[in-house]
Amino acid sequence: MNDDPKNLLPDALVWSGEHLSEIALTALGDGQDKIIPQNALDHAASCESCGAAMGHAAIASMHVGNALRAPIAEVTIERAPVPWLAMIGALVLAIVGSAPSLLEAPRMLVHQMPVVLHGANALLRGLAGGLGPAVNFACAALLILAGAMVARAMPRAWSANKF
Amino acid sequence: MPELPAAPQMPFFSLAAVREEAASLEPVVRAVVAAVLREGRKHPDVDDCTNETLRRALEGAERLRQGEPVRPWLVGIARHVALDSLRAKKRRRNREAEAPPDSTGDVGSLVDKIPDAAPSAGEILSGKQRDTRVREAIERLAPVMRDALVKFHLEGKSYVQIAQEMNVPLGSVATWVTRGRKAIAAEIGRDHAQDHEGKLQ
Ligand SMILES: [Zn+2]
Repeated sequence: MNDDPKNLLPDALVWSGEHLSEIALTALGDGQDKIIPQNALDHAASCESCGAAMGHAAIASMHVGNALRAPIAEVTIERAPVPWLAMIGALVLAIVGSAPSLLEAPRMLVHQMPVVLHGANALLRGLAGGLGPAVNFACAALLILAGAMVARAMPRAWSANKF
Repeated sequence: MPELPAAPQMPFFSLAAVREEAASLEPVVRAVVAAVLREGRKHPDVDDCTNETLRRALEGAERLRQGEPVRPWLVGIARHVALDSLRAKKRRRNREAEAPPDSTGDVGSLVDKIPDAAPSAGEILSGKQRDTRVREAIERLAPVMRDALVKFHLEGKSYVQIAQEMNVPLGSVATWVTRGRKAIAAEIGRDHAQDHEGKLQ
C-alpha cells in the first residue's frame, strides 16, 4: 500500500455508489493495487460483484496486452512451385505426338492453296465493291473461323481422314 | 496512422522470480476463475481451478518466453483452466442427458453455450484476427490513451510511472487506460461477445 496520497486514486474516481468504479476495477485488473486506497482493496476482496468485475478487467487487460505484444501478422501467399519437370515432359510429348501431322503439313498446304487463293481473291473483289458484299465476306470469314475451330476440336478425326 | 512500437526485450529471466510472482498472483487468478465460472471466489470449483492454474504455472514457468510479463500469462492460464472446467461440465451434462430422464442433473444454460472442443485451428486464427483488430483499434485511439496503453503493456510501466512521464495526474492515466480499453472492446464487440465467458447467458 502506498502512503503518498499523490500516488493514490482520489475517492471520486475509486467509488461508484457502494461498489468500485470501472476505473478502480481496471486498475486492479492491471495489478495496480498500490494506487487503490485500503478501504477499496478491502471491498474488492469481500464483494463478489466487484471481484468478478475485476476478473473480467484482468482478462480484458490480457487480451489488449497480448495483441500489442503479438508480432504483426504478415500476409504471405504460399505460391505453389512451378512444375517445370511436368511442363517440359508435356511439351516433349506434344511435339512427339504432333510429329506425323507436321510431316503432313506441306502436302496439306499445297492441297489447300487454290481454296485459300480463291477466297482471298473473292474477298478483295468484294471489299472493292462496297460495304454490302463486305458483310457477306465477313460472314464467310466467320464461317471459316468456326470451321477451323471445329477442326481444331477434332484433331484425331481430321488426322484419320488425311484428306 | 502512427506505428505502434515493438515490444522491448527484457535483459534477464529468472525462473525462481517467475514462480514467486505467479504464486503471489493467487488473488487475481481466483478472481479470473470466479468470473469465468460465474461462481463466488470461495466456491470449491474455483478453488480447484485456482490450484490447477498455479500448478500449471509453476510447472510450465520455463515455457514463459523471455521478457513476457507473468501476470497476463497467468491470467491466460486461469482463463483456459476455467473454460476447460466448464467444457467438462458440459460433457458430463450431455452424457447425463443421454441417460433416462429421471437421472438428469441441473446444470445452468451457461454450460450449454461453452464450445465442446480444445482450441481448433479456426479458433487460433480468430485469436490472430482479434489481435489484429485490437491493434487497429488501439491505433485509432486518442494519442494520450494510446500512449498510456503502450507504456503500460509494452514498456511495463506502472500507472504512477506513466503519470510522472506524461506529467499528468494519476487519475488521468487511470481514466485513459479505462476509456481506451472500453473503446477497444466496443470496436471488437462481436469478437468480444463470442469470447466473453462471463456474459454467455
Ligand atoms: Zn462491490
